[in-house]
Amino acid sequence: MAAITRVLSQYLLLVGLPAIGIAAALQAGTTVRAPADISGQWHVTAISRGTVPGSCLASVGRDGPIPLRITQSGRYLSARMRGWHHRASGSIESGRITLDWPGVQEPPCVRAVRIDAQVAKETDGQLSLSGTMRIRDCSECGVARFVAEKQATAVVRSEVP
Amino acid sequence: MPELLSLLIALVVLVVAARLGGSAAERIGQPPVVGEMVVGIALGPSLLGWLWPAAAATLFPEDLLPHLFTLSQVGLLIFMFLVGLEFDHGQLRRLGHTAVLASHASITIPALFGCLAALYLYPRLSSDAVGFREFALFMAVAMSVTAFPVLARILRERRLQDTPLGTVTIACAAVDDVTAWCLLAGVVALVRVAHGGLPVALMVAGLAVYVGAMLVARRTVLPAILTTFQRRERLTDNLFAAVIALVLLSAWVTEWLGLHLLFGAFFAGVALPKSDLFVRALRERLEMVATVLLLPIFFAFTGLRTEIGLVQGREMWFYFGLILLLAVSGKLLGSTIAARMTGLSWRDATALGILMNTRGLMELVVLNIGLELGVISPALFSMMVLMALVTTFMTTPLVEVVYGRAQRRTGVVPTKQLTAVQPDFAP
Repeated sequence: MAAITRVLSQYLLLVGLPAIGIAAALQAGTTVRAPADISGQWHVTAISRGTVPGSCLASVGRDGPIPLRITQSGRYLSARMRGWHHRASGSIESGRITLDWPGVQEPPCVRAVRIDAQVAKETDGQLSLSGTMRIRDCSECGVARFVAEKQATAVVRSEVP
Repeated sequence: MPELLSLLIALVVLVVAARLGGSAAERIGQPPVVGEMVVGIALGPSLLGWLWPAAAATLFPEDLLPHLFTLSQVGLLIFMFLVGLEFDHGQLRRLGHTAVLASHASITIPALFGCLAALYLYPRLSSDAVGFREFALFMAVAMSVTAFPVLARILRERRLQDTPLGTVTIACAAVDDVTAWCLLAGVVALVRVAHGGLPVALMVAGLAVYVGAMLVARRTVLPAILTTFQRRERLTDNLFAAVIALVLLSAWVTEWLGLHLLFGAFFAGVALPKSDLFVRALRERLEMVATVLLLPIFFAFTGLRTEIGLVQGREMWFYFGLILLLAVSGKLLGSTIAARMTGLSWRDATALGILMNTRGLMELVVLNIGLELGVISPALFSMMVLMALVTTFMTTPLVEVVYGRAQRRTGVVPTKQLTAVQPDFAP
């Protein structure tokens, strides 16, 4: 009888208690929120462009929407814009995204570029971005304003690399 | 045609690199899987793609990747079938109290740690495309996995397989494997149902029919394979074809049901009636192609998905440290405390904990399923791959610390000699 009680108490302690802990953690997790899923392919359309002729902001999106591919790991982002040589890194906090391209780009984008944008959900459930691109440390270069639409089919996370 | 030429060159590089990596690992007393994992990561964007992007793009062009993926899945099918085949039903019946408690504790405690990690990591490394429940359960399974084949090999190399510790460890790992795969099947089903797979009722009904059919086949049709083998005293081509057909059919059913094809391969191995000779004959036919050709493709494919560059900055490395700490402490504490409470000495109990902490290839299989489903993000995938590598790497030296002196006193057979006598199907 004592042996059975010992075995039972060991089982409760090492298996039962953790199982209760798992159930509690799953319950607690119902209140935890993750950032919006913005990974995938976007089409960026410029609304207004930069003011300095020859800078990349002055020509951005002149030939139509530019594909922007965002890879997301939670709040951490990396992105590639077609025609821009390097990869940006950034983050998403409360639906606001920031992406920074490093200082060395292919001409004419030779300086560091920053994108600030807000994620919004349209009435049809589609995600959109609206924000600005600016050349860092160049206040006279002005800003380019843009909107972007997420393309429904591409999901970077589950793609074969 | 150029695609075929690219594939052949890529395969040559993968096979040679994996062999070199495996041999290098063995030279420093590590299981070959450690070297093969490192080589896989090195051929991906973390090293080759970073140092020499043009070479990486030439060696693994994008249009080649679907072919590599398919070949790697075939390799995994064979690997999972062999893992299932090694599973001994009798072992479950013979399990002592120590093995039952230790195996269950080595699942529930790491699973709890996985769920706790999920509470912290979900808002940081996941997105709202994945529900918390799916994410947490996946983390629980990923933390609970033990690499049964690698562990068995380490035990053999240290001549511990016939000791009480070896027997308990093998039993624990076998129970762990089956439980972890059942749990993972549940998580995969949850995710696929949530993302528009088969309706739940159809999936559950299909699964019930599948399990029922396997149980019936195990008692009626499948014993004929074993009796034919015993009568002919060899594995004929027809018998081999029947086994392969069973594995493929089982994999097809589980994939169609919205689970994963690997579950079908694993359960086909579990369900097949077996004898030592039959298992050995099948292993001899299958293991060489799987370990030398197909599994290196899987390692490379995993490496192509692993981007250590995504783990950047203090915060990310802190997350990795946290994952590693929880993974190691969950397995180590759970198994060690359970084994100690049931009467093993502190040394044996600690060794059991260390051995159960080996994750190896099994963890990579689980992680790749998670990434394919979109349950884990690319950065979290990379962190978990690193965790699998570190936990596999640390096993042999730690066992050496616990058992090294005692082994030397009792005269251990050198590793090379043991490997030659007792080949193992697992890398």
